[in-house]
Amino acid sequence: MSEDKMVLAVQNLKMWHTLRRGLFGGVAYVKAVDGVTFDLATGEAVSVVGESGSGKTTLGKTILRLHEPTDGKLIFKGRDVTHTPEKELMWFKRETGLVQQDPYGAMPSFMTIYRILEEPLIIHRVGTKEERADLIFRALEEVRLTPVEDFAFKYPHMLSGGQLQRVAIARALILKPSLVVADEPVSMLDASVRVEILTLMRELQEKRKISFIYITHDLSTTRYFSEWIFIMYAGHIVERAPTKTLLQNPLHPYTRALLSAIPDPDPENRKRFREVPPGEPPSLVNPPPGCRFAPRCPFATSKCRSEEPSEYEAEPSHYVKCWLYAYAGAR
Amino acid sequence: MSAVLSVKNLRLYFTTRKGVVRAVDDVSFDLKKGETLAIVGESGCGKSSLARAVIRLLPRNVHTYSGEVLIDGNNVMKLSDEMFRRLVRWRKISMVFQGAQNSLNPVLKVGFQVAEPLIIHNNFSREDALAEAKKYLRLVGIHESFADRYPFELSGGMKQRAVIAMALITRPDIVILDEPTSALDVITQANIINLLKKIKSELGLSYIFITHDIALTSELADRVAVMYAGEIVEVSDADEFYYKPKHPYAEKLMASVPTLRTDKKLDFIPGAPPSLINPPQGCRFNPRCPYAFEKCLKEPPPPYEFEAGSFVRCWLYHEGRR
Repeated sequence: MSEDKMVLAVQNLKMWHTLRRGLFGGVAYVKAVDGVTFDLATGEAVSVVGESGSGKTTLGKTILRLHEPTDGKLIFKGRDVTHTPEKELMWFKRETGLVQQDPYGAMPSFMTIYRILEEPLIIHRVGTKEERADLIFRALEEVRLTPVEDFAFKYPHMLSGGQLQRVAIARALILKPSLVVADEPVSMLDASVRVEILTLMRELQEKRKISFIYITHDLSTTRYFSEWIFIMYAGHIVERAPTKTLLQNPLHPYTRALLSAIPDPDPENRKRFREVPPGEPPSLVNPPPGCRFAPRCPFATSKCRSEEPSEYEAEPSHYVKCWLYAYAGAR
Repeated sequence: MSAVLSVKNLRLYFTTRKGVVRAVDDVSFDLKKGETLAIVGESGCGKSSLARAVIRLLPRNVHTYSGEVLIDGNNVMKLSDEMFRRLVRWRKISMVFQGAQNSLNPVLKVGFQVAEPLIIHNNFSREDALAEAKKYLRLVGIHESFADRYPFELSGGMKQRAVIAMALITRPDIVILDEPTSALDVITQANIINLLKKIKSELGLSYIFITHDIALTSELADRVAVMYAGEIVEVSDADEFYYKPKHPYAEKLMASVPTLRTDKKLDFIPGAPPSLINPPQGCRFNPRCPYAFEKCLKEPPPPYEFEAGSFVRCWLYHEGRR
């Protein structure tokens, strides 16, 4: 990938949360993100899919530098932002946006929608009062909260979940960022509203050529809204590939298990049992040595249990972190 | 097959400061022995209220609670609250509540919590109930040594299994499952669904399966009831429903379900569900329905029956437009 097309380069990124154990116990770490590497091009959308506790939210927050990485590198538009101090990060914050899962929790309840959208503009000293008003109304129009005058002066509790998530999207986009992270943006909404919001996000992302990281536990929505899928398990990206490739030809045993666990609406489903691995994801404080899926994997060998596999390019643009594909040659 | 449960003209209205909320409004359905009836609908359509009305676990602000609930042919609506608790709740019909795995009492051992219904509803001694609890923990795939542990020592999936054991221990004929897997990860969810399938055939249970997740309903449902704004607007056999839902709302809802294995264009329903305080005149879906005509705006459609146990509330069918 050429340098100028690249928005974000993540290299062996690690984010460990510290955990104090007991009164005299030492410090332990929750290795929420433990060595993640990928590139993201301009205007590209990726889905990061994983179960709860897989580290996907921490990954999203670390990419936006809401956490300072423990190790590795974070390069945004050619500039290393891994350890840049907070006060020198204003330009970076302006270039990035976040949409959170719970819109009610993400909006101050005492502010009107207008104030909520004006705040980032004020912080980044954008325009005069009039110019800001213009930007705010246009942003509301873009997320189809019309008539805008009606919505601008309402308070968050007066809006439905779907409407409020539109405000969250407007707020994330108002500074015209080049990278947006949306963390489970629709998981609290009803199915029909979900599709509506995701369609809107996809439309704006394509129109403005924003690079987009869509974090979700719901594999079935990803095919409609991203070019790439990354599968996370226990702090690692275990597989990444273009959306269609990954869904049609999943390689990692975990991805296969995940896919086979998700039903499509089909009356035949009730007549059979699903083949799913037993057990639970490992603790991120003491992850197993070797491959982290090995304790649940039907194909695990002694090598899998002792040595961590690297990421192999099993087929063009299809990367998988699994010993089964080691013959394809290390990257 | 005979009906183990028959609900007729059930109404449950709540009093609120803003007015009377008609959460369950003239709902009728049958549940056959050994069958799973799925009830689907968006949040706020009244599906959880319907479950609570059937098992009679009501809040204080009830405005109207009427209709018939027949279990094995007996109208249990006539029973006093005390008799209902003694004879019906948990003995005939039990429930797995939404998010129940997080409502286990943190200071009581799991075994005791699973055993408690037997002590309360069946007058078992503590020892007998605990022995029975271990049996049911094994049935749901938890080692009986976990009976002596506290909820925090169990994973989310195991807690959900324990809650299911709690719903089965009194050997009810009917189990209401209200979003039994909604807080769980997909693989854990699949494991729980496998378990629900297994125990259903082993114990000859009938399920009422309430969820907003349509794809998931197909894992269990023999028939599907679609709820919208407090009413059941369609009941269809699973074999038909997932291919060709009949009500325009059900059709749109199905179109909004993303699929993994097939390419399908996603669609959504514009607008929002109506208030249950002042539902629209005529058909309650008419403001959002692309096929609505004059009659839909004026008169609520009665059920249009296809065969026994399968109907749709839509004027398009009555008027021969479909």
